[in-house]
Amino acid sequence: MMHIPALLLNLAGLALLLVAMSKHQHDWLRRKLPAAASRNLRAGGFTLLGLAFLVSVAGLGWLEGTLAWFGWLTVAGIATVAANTNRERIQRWGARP
Amino acid sequence: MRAISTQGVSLVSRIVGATLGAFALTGLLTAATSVLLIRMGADPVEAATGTTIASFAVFAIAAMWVFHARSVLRAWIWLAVIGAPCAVIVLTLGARAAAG
Amino acid sequence: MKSTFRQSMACLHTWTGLLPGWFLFVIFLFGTIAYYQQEISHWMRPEIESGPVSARALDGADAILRQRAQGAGSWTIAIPDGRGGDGFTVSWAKPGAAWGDRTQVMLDPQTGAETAPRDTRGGFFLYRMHFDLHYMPVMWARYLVSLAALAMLVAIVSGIITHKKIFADFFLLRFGKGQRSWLDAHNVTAVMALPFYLMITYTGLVSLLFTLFPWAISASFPSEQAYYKAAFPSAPAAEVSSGPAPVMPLRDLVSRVNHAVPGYKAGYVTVNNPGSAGATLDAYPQYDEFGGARGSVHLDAVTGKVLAVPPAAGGATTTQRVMIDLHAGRFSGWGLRLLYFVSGLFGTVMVGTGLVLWTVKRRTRLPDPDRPYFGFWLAERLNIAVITGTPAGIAAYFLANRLLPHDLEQRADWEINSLFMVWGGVLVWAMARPARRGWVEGLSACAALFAAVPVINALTTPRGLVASLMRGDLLFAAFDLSMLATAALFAFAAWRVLTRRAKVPPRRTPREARGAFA
Repeated sequence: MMHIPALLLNLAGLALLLVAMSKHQHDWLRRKLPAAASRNLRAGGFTLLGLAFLVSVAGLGWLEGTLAWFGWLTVAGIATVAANTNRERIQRWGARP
Repeated sequence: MRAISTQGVSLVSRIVGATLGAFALTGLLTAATSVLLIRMGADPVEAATGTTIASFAVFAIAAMWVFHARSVLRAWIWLAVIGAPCAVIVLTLGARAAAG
Repeated sequence: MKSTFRQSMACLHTWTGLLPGWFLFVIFLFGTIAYYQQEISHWMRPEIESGPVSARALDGADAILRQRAQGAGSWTIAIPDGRGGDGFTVSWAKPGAAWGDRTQVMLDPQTGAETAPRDTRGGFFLYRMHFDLHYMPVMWARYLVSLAALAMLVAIVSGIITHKKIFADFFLLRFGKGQRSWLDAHNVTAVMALPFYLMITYTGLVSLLFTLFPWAISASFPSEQAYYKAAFPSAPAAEVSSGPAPVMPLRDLVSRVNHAVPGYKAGYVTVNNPGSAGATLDAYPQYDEFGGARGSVHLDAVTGKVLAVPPAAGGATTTQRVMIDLHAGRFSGWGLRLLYFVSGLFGTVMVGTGLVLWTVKRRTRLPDPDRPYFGFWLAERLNIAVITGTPAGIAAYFLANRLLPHDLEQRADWEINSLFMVWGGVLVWAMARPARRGWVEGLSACAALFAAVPVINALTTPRGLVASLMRGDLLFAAFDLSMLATAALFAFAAWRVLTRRAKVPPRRTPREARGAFA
């Protein structure tokens, strides 16, 4: 049952990597973060991806764990791109009272 | 008109080189490497298996390289320059040659 | 061709992708489905329960062989792995009889009692179709499949070179934004599952090793037989003992095989000359363990003495096995299997959208969209026929499994023929209809056929969706639900193509309208 944490950690990691880029900061946060903050976000993103790998390998062994990590990274990547594509819709929905 | 047909011949030649040429080169290189490895003491099954596993990567690189080469003639010359010694190795050191 | 490296790679990507593309779509789709071949086999034999083979069932097989196969030249016992689905079968033949003349009996894996489910090749056919195709010699099919895979490898690498900018910020990828939506879907599926595609293409080529480049064998061995003898050493010839002697109980023989090599699980067992003192046994393993043993274990079938075990594999052979295991994913648990399946679907979508992309990019450049040149017309029709026809054929295969009478001669073959008849029907239809209509109708046909599968299943068997959910039969319920989900996806796709018409630039509207009535 390590699949769900592996997916969620990959998703969170990619989300941090997304907002670590200045173009996407403008889109999602409506402001540009200082360079140090961006660096920290990027480091945090990679750390979460690494954590996802560790969780995956701990639960499924080296082989299945590595394969599952790649697989969930693919799923998380597609989810992230889908969210980024529908950003305006998500922000409108989030801003509702 | 003449320019177009030269270009056409060059394109066809390039496509043939990137497919059949790269294919022949890969086959020769795979066979020759396997033969050399066996001569150096490798197990024949291992040598044949290992070189054939690598052959697909060799083909991909060869095909892309011929397709991009500055001139088709040069690509063909290089195919021959690499392929000919491989053919010699296979014909002189190969198992069928050795078996007579 | 004085172009940049990127340009020539873009050109290479287009053509190595397009020409084998229809073929690659078929290979990808069947390969993806094959990850669930055993579950599909189970669904296609609703008369029997499936699961790991019990010791009791082995005793049942033993009894049947001793009673009914006396004097046979050989016995075979096929033991499916724990996922089940494939039948637990025994077969036998008179000495010297052809393989086709064997008597075959299917047994219940729990009780060992004889069962006679409907005649079907089940999910196994879908798996074989992935690399052996159908209606043609297996070797031709494997040449074609290997060539397509090799082109795919070149298409992937040249695609990476062409589009390496995407990797710098792949969050810039978009889904479904207007005219670019086909390109976007192609890019997103291509980039996100790229490691999977590289792995699956290369390991696929290695699975059919020596098909395209057999010359390492011809140069390294005096003959092809010499290679096979060295690579798959046959068992030492048994001393010819005359006189009758009983074969050891099957249960004990299987247990001896499994203990002969650590981790070995007998999957396919042949007993030669049963009943004579010189009886021998050859066992091949189940392949559901990663990097597990491949070769055969050889026993004296009377005394149970181990005569030969598979030799230790060297580095290259081990690499080959690991690659084949990675490709087939037989070792994977339910979660990883789902990921293999999803990644395979992404691959299918990537190939399909790539094919559509070729026509979309060129349609705007056509001098007269009503009368495209032949190549364009053909590409567009093949797209419809392959992308909607293949799934429609698979749905028809499932429907035929439920609808064909059980006593039909060569019933299993007719299930397969149904697949190709529907596929051919879609092809003819696609040739005859205007392109956009063809798409909508093809996609709608897929939606209808997949939606029909659970309905027909509920009407013809006692194992419909509701009954399965009540019983807690997850496999049957999941199968029916995934048919409904597939139907919904196709219906959504049909609806999208239908409504996208309104968005085409007004300049082209009259022509589109004329096309619709043509």
